[in-house]
This record gives sequence, structure tokens and C-alpha cells, in this order.
Amino acid sequence: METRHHTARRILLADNDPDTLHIRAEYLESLGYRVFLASSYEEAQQLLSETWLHLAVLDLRLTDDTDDRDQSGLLLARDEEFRATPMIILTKYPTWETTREALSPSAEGKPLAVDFIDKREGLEAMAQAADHAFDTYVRINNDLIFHHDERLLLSWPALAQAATPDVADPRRAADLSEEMEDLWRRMFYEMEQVHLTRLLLRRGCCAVLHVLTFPSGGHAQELIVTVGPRQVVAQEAQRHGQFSSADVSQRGMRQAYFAETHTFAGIAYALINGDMEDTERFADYYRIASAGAICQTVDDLFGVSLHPWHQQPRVQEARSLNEIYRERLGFGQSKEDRRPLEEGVERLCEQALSAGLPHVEPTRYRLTFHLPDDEPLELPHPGVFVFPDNEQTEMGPPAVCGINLGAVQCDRILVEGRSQQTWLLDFSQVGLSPLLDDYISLEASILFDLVAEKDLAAHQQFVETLLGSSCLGGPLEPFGDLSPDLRKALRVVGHLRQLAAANPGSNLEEYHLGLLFQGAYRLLAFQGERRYPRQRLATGLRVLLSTGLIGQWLEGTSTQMPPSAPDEAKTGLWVDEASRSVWVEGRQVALSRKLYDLLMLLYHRAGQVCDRATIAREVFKVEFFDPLIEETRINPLIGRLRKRVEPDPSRPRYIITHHGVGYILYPRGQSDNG
Amino acid sequence: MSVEKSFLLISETEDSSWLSVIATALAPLGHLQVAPLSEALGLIQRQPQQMIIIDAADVEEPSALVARIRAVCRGARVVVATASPTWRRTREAFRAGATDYIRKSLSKAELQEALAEALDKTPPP
Repeated sequence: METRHHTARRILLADNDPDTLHIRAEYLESLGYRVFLASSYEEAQQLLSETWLHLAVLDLRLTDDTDDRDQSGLLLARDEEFRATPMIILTKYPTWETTREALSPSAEGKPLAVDFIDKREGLEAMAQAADHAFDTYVRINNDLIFHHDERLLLSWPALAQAATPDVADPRRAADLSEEMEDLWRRMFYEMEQVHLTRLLLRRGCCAVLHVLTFPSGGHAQELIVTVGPRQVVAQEAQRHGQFSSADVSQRGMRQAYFAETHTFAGIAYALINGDMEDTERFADYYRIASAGAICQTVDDLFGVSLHPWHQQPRVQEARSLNEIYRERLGFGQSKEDRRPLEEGVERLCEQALSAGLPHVEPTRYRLTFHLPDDEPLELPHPGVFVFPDNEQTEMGPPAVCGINLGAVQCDRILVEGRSQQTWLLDFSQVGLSPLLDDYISLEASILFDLVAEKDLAAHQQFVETLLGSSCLGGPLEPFGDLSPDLRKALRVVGHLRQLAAANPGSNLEEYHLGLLFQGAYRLLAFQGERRYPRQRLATGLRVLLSTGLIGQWLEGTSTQMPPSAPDEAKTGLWVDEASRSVWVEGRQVALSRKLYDLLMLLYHRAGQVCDRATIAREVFKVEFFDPLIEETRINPLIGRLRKRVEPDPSRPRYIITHHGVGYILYPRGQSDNG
Repeated sequence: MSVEKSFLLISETEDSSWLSVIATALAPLGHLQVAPLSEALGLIQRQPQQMIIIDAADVEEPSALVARIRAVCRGARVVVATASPTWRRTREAFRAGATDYIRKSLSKAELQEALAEALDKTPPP
């Protein structure tokens, strides 16, 4: 589909003298302008605020022609809200001072007005000034030819509607469609042809497109173009410009063009050392590529594409990580702001139950999961960490922050399959954020958006494997059978964590807190009256389970040891039966009821073998021992217990297998017991 | 260590009361050089100037000179100084690419303020 169009020149004419106003308006209309009239300062202000205009011609004294001090026209020109609209000042009373004030450039190099006309110079002088302003400042290429390869998605009405979804009036929608085309004709003023080849991403009200531009007689240039509401895109352009490192020599995105209209803005990024043919989104690539290839892609992402951003200086914040994450993810800072998260969890659990999914009971502080064929699993509510009631769960200052992209998600990265090269698509959140924010963001996207394990118990096992390492970047060895998809995810996430761990100052607790916040953020989507399909609810339950397990891990790392604790609490394994708290080498470990029951069975027989039949009887309440029970229930349960209490689950020192018989617990560790 | 700023005044007169006032006004900000029109463009090409001041009394068409300077040095900060400003000449100067248009003053404080204000402005593209 090809479009050629001539947009009418839209001009505001403001004058408090009605005769002057109408004579000049008629003259401009005879020249083909579409003229909007204002006969007062207030009317002009309203039109500037609400109407798409190319140019404004303003009388200097819009309020009182007899008052020397009246500079209401210049007042409008000075208003930051209207700075994108070039202005011409008209007056019957020119002075060198007001001329200077109107035309002198500011610190940013932009004058209040682009020209200054004495009314006595006549209508032609005004028309010439308007003409010159259009050629110099408005610059719309009406001869530019557009090709829209995806007709419906990439048409002007579609792009305008995406950016202004609340507009229902058809006339207004038609106006906005014309304004969107205007934006592109300004952005690519110097081009002869522009091809909108494909839509790469829709995020909120913005559209990100792959575009080819052709200057007259020149070579095609490949660009990534983001268009959307003016303030949103302008802010992205400002952030990218402010935080992008000067060193993007290897591969990156350089701001090539920027344009804005009253409603929209567009920014075009040029690719440095790259070719976008044969690229696809990371989310799609992940589904088909091998774990090894994905790991190479992750290497490229952090080693090349994100590297210039991450090399910028770090800053030590005075705020806690919780505060920073709450602000960054839009949770709000007061305790009342907890309600949307609670509501999201409640609605998810209600709808999931109606859809025949596992039952989850939320309270203010806890979640109880009723998984099939298992004891109820009690985990902390994510709200406990997002809005802590006490300082112990607030991750205290200082938090170290660095420049992060902030939007490293699977649908916002492009991958070239053959070379594993990556491209970033979203710069809207770039800025200072906690140190490993980009790593956490990608892991969260894999964990919450891509991993689609239907069996919640298997998903639990997977997340517990992730949480089983004692340090960031440590080995992630799965217990029991994980599906091929989960094994792939484990390998990719393990590799990602190794890259994260290579950053000085990386910290596993902070990493897990970041993941929890990312999960909690996704749970906000379930608040309100909207109903979701079963698959979406299943995803929500996986997110909820994951945040609960991460919270349980965090609880295990944040509680103080009682002063009366014996030495083995610090150097071995100790259970305070009065409070049902478990301590391993000074660290409290939170256990589900079943794991605690299993541990206590072994603990009360410390140093002696506890056979499998006893475990089956005491923990699973089974009278007649069946070898199948051992394979499907005891072994995985022992595995999960080791994950919680063993520093290195692959080399247990507390829970030792007595082959052919059962297990022995050594509270001081096997080496101390011979 | 800050680099001393360099200013160029295009004037045919080497000795006038205004000249000594402007030299005193700019002294805290940097080094002022005075050159006639015949030498000015060459100087501008050889050495970047923080600000170029045109004495309108010595130049027949200051706006044309502004345009010539801007053609030679696109980002030049050009200020026209005149004893008798008019709104038309003000407009012409800005249309030609001037950064500012100031009234000559024999008050060191006034001149300093006007020139400091001009230094804060970014030349038009």
C-alpha cells in the first residue's frame, strides 16, 4: 500500500481586534491555509492546548491594545507546553526590546518566536513570514512516498489509534490519523521514500517498527522507529540521549531522527554495525533454539548490546531496595498502596478456582497452596516484602545503582538467529536502577513469561532448584525429573546468573528480592473486574507460587538467631522446637510443614538410620510401604529438604543416604561424625 | 584548569571610550581581541571565539556581516552592539543568525550584564 498525501497547513491566528482577525484569516485561507481563530488570550491558549497546529500567528497585545505592558502574545510563546509549535508575533507597536525578546535564542538555542511582523507591513509580509516558517521550522515533506507493508497494522489510522486508544469520535480519529502522517512527513523530511516494513512491538500506547528510508539517489537506511504519545516518546528520547554511553562503537542504536506534533512524537534509531534481516523476538527465538544457542545470545546481549550502558559509573542510593523497586514498578510508597496487590492476588485465586485450577488461599500475610497429591504448602504473601511491616524484611540501605536499560524482557529484544546478535527495542525505562536490574528483568521474563509448566508441583521443584544455590552464579543441579523445557530454562537462567555474579557487589539476596518484585508486579494485572482465560490464570498461579517460594527463601535469610542458640546453630544444623525454627550454619531456613515433619523425624533419630518404611508411615501416613512411594515421593522430598538445608546439595553433609536402607541426619555434619 | 575564553570585537576604532569599557567588562570573563573587518574573518577561521561582537557603527550592513560570519563558522555566537537600535535592524540581525542584539552602554555593569546574558544563549542552528 502506497500513500501520498498533502496535509493542509494548519495555522492559529490570534488577535483581539475582530476586523484584523477576519481580514487576515480570509487572506490566509485564500492561500490554502486551514485557519483556527482566537480573539483572546484565553481562546488562543485553549486552541494551542487542544488543537494540532503547524504554526501560530499571535498578536503581541492580545488583551489590551492600549496597554504598553501587555505582552500576552509573548506570554503564550513562553509557555513550555506550546514550545513545539513555532510562533510568529504580530504587532502594531514594535520596539527593539520586544523584537529582541521575541527573536533572541534561549540557552537551548530556541527563540520564543520564529519571526516578528509589524501589522503595517501588510498581509503579504505576514504570508511570507508564514511561508518561511513552514520551510524552515515546520518542514513537512508532502512529496514523500510511503509504503506500508503490513496494511492494517501499519496504516496511519492504526498507528494513531494505538497511541490514542480512548478516542471514540470518528472525526477526531480522522484528524489524529492525519496528524500521525504529518509526524512521519516531518521526521523523514529529507527522504524520498519510506517503507514501513513490520511492527516489531506494541508497548502500551507506543508502536515500534522496522523502517527502511531512501534518500534521493542514496542508499537505504535501516531504522527502528518508536511512535506514540508525545510526552511518552519525548521522554524516551531524552532518557536515551541522557544515559546512552558515547561508546556505542561495537553495536548499538544511535538517535537519528526525532519529530513531534501536538499529540505524537517519533524517534528513529539507526543501527550501528547491524543488519535486521532475519531477526525475531527473543521470546520466539527462545522457543525454538537450543539452550546452548540461547546462552550465546545472552552473552551477546550483556557482553555487547547492554555493555556500554552497564559500564557507566555507579551511584550509592540512600533509599532501601524495597523503596527503589516500589517506585520503579509503580507500587506506591504508602501502606494503603498495598491494596491493589492484595486485590490482584485475591482475584487471581478466585478466578483460578472457578477455572478448575489448584486452590490457593490468600490471607494478608500468607498463601496456602493446595496442590494435588500433596500437603498444603504455606508460603509468605509477596505483599510482606513489597510493603514490609518491619525493618527486618526491608532490605536496608545503601543500595548500589547503575545505569540499566530497565526493559530487558523477552519481547523487547531482537535476535539474529544465525549469529546470535541482539538488538534492544525499548529505551523508555533507561536510567538509574538497582545494580543487576537488567539481569533480574530478563530472568523474570523467562521465569514468568516463557516457562509454561502445567504441573505446579514440577514448577515448584524448578523454582526450588533456582533457590537452592548458596551463591549467585552457583551450580543449579535439578533434583528429580524436570521436563526438557524446565531443564532448558534452568540452563539458560544458570548461565544468566553466572554473568550476573561476575559483577562486583552482586548479592543473591538482592537478586531474589528483585525477582520477587517483578513477580508481584505481574500479579497487579489481575485486580479489577476483568476475567481471564484458564491459560492466563495458570500463568498467574505459577507467578504467585514463584513469589511465595522466593519470599520463603528471603524469610530464611533475614531473621535473627535467638541468643540462647547452641553452637551447632552456628556451625551445624539445629532445630528450636519451641518456635519450630530451623537453623543451618547461622542461617534460618523456612520449611513447609511436610519438610519440617521429615526433618524432625530424622532429627529425633540423629546419628541413626531412619528407614524408608518409617518415613512413608510417619510422613506420608502410609501403612503398607510401596516401592513406588519411595521413587515418587520420598526421594523428591529428601531432595527438596537437602535443597533447603545443605550448603551444597550435590555433596550432602547433614542428610546422608544409607544405601538400601534409608537416611541418617548428622546435626554437626558428616565429617565431624566420622 | 579552565581554558580562558576568547572574544573578538570587530571594530575599526582602536581607541574609544566604549572600547575601554567593553574591554574592562569582559576582562573577568576572558581575553578580548579587537580587529578590523578586513582581518576578522580570517581570525575567526583560525581561532574559535567564544563570542564575536560587531560594532554596528563601523559596519555598513551588520546583518550581512552576521550572515557571512555564520557561513564561515556555523556555530558562532555573534552579537551586534549598536548605539541606536531599531526594531527592524534587530529583526534583520536575528534573521541573519545573530545570537543577540544589544545597546551600547558606557556603564560597565550594564554592559557586563548584557554580555553575560549573551554568553548564556546558544546560537541558533
